[in-house]
Amino acid sequence: MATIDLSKTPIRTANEVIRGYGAIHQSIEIINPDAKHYIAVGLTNPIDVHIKGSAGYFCGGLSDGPAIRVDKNVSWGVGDNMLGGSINVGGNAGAIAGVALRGGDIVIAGNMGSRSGQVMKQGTLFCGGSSSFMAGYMMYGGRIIILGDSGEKVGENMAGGEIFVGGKIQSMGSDTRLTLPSEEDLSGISEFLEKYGFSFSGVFKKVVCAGKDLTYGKPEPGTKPIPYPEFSGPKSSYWNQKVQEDIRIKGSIGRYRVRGFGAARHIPHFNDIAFKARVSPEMIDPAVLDKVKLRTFIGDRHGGRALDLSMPVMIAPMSYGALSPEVKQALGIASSLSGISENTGEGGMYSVERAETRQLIAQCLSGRLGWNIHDMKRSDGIELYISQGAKPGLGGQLMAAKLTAEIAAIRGIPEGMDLRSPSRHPDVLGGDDLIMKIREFREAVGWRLPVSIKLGGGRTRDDVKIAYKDNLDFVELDGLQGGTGAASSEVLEYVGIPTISAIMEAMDGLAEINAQGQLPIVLMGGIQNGIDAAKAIALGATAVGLGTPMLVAAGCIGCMQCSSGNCPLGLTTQTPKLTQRFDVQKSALKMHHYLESIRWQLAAITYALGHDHVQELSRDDLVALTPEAAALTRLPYEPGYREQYGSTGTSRPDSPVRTETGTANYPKQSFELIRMMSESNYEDSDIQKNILARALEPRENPFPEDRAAHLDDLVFLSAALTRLVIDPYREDCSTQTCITRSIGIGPKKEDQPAIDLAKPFFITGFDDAPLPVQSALAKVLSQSGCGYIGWAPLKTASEEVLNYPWLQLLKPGDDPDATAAGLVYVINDTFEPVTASRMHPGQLLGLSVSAPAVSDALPFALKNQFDLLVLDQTLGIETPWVELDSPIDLTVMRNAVRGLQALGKEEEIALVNFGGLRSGTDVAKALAYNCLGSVFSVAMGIAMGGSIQDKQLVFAEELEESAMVDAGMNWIKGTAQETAIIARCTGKTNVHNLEPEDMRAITLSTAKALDIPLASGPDKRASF
Amino acid sequence: MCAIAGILFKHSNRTFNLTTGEALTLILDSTVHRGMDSCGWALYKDPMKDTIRMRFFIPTDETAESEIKRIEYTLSAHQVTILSARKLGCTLGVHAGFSGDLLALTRAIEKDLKPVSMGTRLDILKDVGMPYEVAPVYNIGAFNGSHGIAHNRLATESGVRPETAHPFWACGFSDIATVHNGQITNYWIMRRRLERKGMVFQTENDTELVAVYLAYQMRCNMSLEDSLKASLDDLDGTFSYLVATKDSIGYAKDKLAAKPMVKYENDEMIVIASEEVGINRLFPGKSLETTEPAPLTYGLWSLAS
Repeated sequence: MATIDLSKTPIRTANEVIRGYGAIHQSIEIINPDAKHYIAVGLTNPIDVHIKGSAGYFCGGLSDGPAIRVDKNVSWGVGDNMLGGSINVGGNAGAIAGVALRGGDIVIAGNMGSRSGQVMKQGTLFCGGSSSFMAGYMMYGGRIIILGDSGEKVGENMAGGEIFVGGKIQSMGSDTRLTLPSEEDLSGISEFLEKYGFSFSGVFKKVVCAGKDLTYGKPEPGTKPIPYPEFSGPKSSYWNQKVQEDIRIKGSIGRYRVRGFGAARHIPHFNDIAFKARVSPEMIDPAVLDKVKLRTFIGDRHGGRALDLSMPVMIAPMSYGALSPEVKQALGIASSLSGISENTGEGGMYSVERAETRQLIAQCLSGRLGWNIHDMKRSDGIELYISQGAKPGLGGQLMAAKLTAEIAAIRGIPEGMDLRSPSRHPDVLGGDDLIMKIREFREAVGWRLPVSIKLGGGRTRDDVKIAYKDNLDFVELDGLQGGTGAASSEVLEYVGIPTISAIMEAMDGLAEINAQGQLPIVLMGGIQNGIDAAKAIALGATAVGLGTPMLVAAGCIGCMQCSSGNCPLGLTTQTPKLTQRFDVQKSALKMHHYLESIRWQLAAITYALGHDHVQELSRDDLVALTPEAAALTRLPYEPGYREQYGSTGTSRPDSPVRTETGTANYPKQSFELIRMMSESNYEDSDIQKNILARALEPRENPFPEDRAAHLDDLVFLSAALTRLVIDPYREDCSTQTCITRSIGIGPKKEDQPAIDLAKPFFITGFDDAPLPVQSALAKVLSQSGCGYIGWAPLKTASEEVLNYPWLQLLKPGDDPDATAAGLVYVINDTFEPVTASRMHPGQLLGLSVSAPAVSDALPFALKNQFDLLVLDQTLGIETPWVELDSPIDLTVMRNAVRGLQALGKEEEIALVNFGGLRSGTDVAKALAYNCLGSVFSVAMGIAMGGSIQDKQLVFAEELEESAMVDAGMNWIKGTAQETAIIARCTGKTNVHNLEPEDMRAITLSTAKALDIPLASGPDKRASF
Repeated sequence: MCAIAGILFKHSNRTFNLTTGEALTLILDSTVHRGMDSCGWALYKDPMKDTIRMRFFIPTDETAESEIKRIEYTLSAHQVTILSARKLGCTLGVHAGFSGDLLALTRAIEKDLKPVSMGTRLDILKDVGMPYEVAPVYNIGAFNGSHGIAHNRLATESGVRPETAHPFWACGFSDIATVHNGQITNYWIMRRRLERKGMVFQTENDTELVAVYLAYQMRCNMSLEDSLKASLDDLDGTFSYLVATKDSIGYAKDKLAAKPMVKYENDEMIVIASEEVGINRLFPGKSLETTEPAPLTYGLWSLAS
């Protein structure tokens, strides 16, 4: 028996010694452990380890095989991700004991902390005493045995596995049920108890998954992409086809929508930036690849072996699961041929890919699906996923259609579920835990490998500081334009900051702590060619990552149906009939050619700008072509530089709209270029020069100066490291709303009028709608807990009494109705004092005002104790369907909020906004802008089956009331989900906690109209 | 993003072999990996007759002397009789006679001076650096009073300066201090609400918000216990925080309970730390029955009267 004294040996050395003894099958005793962390992490030999005392975090974590005995207590995460063997604890265990357990036995003689067995998949976690709250949280399989009592929410959101409780159950978790243990269960338990010397004479209760939340229910209908000029850019209309389709689909499925690919509307990007010196393709030396150095090492900041990249490019993480096995194999081959790195993505390492790939990064995600010590050891780098640009705040999604038996087996989860991975790690709940997780990984692989994190752009300025302080080797930073196999379509579009902003914020954040250049950033999200890559490096990135374009090089046509499993090219599918269409060798070569073309472009640009090494590119080499790009990057605004590329921004004839792609960030031009690159001979410099010439042409400014401020140009900052995201798939986020005046800290004032709503929604404009429509709407409102604003209450066909709050619209002098929950006097542009009195003390008083009237209306409304102000962003709320024929004036919100602030009376009157609201995201933006509620009109009409004709909404006679009720209810449900998802992404458990500080603008006009700072560029934390 | 620590000795029959200050520092040191930017202690010293303890931040450069003069001048102008004043690290500790309204005094001076803490017992000592570096500078080991709380900080959204270190004093409220691990995600909404009620903030640190929030609730005559309870509804995000008063330590933990907090109690004392290792270091070789508070709970431990 060998002895290691932890009072004398540092843990890093101790673990090396332990592994050494493991290799020669020598058992060990560890004295003076003093609750030190990471003892025996990453041990893969079947030896006995006797810890004579207490152990700290992650004791025996990431191990396979050893028999570990701890005499006293263990802290967090004992047996984290263990594959086999046993850990026997004589005392108590802290939180998340047996987290992500994948096999073997963990035996705790005493009590067990909270969330034990979180995301475990196999093996047995035993507790001789009682367990704290949420045992078996999100477990996928395996067995938990608790002899004593279990705390709150046992089995919360479990998807599989079994929990046996011998004592009392304080409360059951959601989607669980109680059942009787079978004979087989009980004999298995007795065997286990006997093996470890415990006895039990009571009666076990068995907790299993109820299975109600495992799948989404009704599938989303397949759609064809709508050409992007329809919904984004100067020619798009407000109530465009895409908006309408989105509303109708929510009306059909009753939940938020999911799709693949990335953000589809225009976002300021690298093609709004140009090089300051003229890059003339014809002047490039044919042997340019020999003239400049591109080789880049990354990841050795802390002594690991650096990744050796032949050029500063990596392949972005994409999972086996999202992609077919053949595509993963092809990516591996292409990466090896081009001397760059590939990444496993979520869900484990595919052996064929490992074999084909020279440098493979293993990505670790929240669900720890397929994560294990052996794959860590055979990787060339470890990456901890915190969030990604496409869907910051959301965990991965893999629909049942793509979850084959083989993938379920690698991941260790039940087949047939719509997999929605947790939004955050079980053991990384902030920068403080992150540092410990990173250390555990380093210990597990003997400090041999680079360890990085993947971050979606958002609170990047603060997040990179934590990454730096937590000793990461590099950060993979992803902007809003990043792609994904499946995500909420609203999060894809509106959560996160543009890629050019992400790199700016990262650089500014590091500069704030004097750490410039000390933390390499690998930038990804919409980087399509060597020109984008060169600009990213000039802005401060050390390398770039390529995801979607690799698939485009392999043939992707951008149908955006990635999540459905029906990819026609056989890329993002697991259906054999489709995957057969993909030729591994040919596609690998195409990807390789594409990468080599990037290499040529990178070299050509570096050379043309007069540098020897690609890392010499700097901000001095760049200018901005649009005011937005200039403001976001602080580069000089030089629109004249367009001309040197033979482009005035309009030289290329517009392709017919109907043939355009479904995303402004990958227009037809992008697909054509990437395909040309993938089919080009990289040794033929003439071809490469032609491609370069075409790729250098900037795009037309998508945000011309006359563009009005638009809600679409606001994005949210998601939680990541500095804040904790609230899991949208599982955790509650309240939409309860109380419309009342004088809110603030302290209990609700009982003596003033108030309207309680289940969701922060009102509907207006149905006064002249046909009777069945009004009748249906009344039912929807009463069932969904929303309110109506109109000249009269909705007419109903039946005698049924429907309860919903109705706010009466009145012109000054009209008769108020005593049955109305509130009175709203329509003021519009010109304020005149109104004589208003409540018909009863509980009736709310309100004014509806447009922007010009706000400054006069505010003091009057406050003085006369009005309860609410409807902020009318249209030409007049009194006209039905006014939204169809009205500009949307966002400044009314700003005027109201600023006016109240100036008077020191924020929240003294309830703000409710109307005009142009289409989705739950729009409502989230209004909520963040201090509006307690939002008023829909046209959107609700479309949801119930109305169609737009001549600036009017028309309801066909054959529409049945019951169908309209269903559609209306579904739409409200899906829309409220959208609002709550956005709130959760920003770390809120209540939609009313959204703040203006959670938003950023991506256009100057919107920044100005709403006083919301730009996503990057300006000084830190412009105050609201 | 941090480590929190708290110790309360229930009575004066002490058998524990470390001073309160040494024990708090030991917990901080054993959890220092959770945050290395700054650290601090809120210590509850024995009350002196008719004397109030005050501490102010001062510069550490050559302007310190003039700042001290300014502090003395400002205090005298507000009917504070300075009995003694001593420079310690980046702070000036003052013992003073003052019989007026402490809240009014704070309101009057906080725009000019940087008060760290005030109270009959409370003394907050905090600075940039790690516990074993900072503790000797501020003579923490010599403290052996009934209770105290302490903190290691990993800065997230506000900068690294002594002012942004924890604990935070509930400005204007004698003897109340907080430490916190986590993030308040409705910070700006709550801050603007509190500012409209006349409360003042010195930093953009969300722990200060917890302190100011509790202070406001108590100003509205709410008990500390009820204030802790109300905070579970009013504050969003995820947090474990400790609050100390002249005779108690309380805690609150949000509904997600994501931020760790463990406690150990025996006949003599209550010890709170972010990790078991913090408590284990105080009782080497012992197997301890530690527990963790459940989600959405709060509690208060008081000195035996």
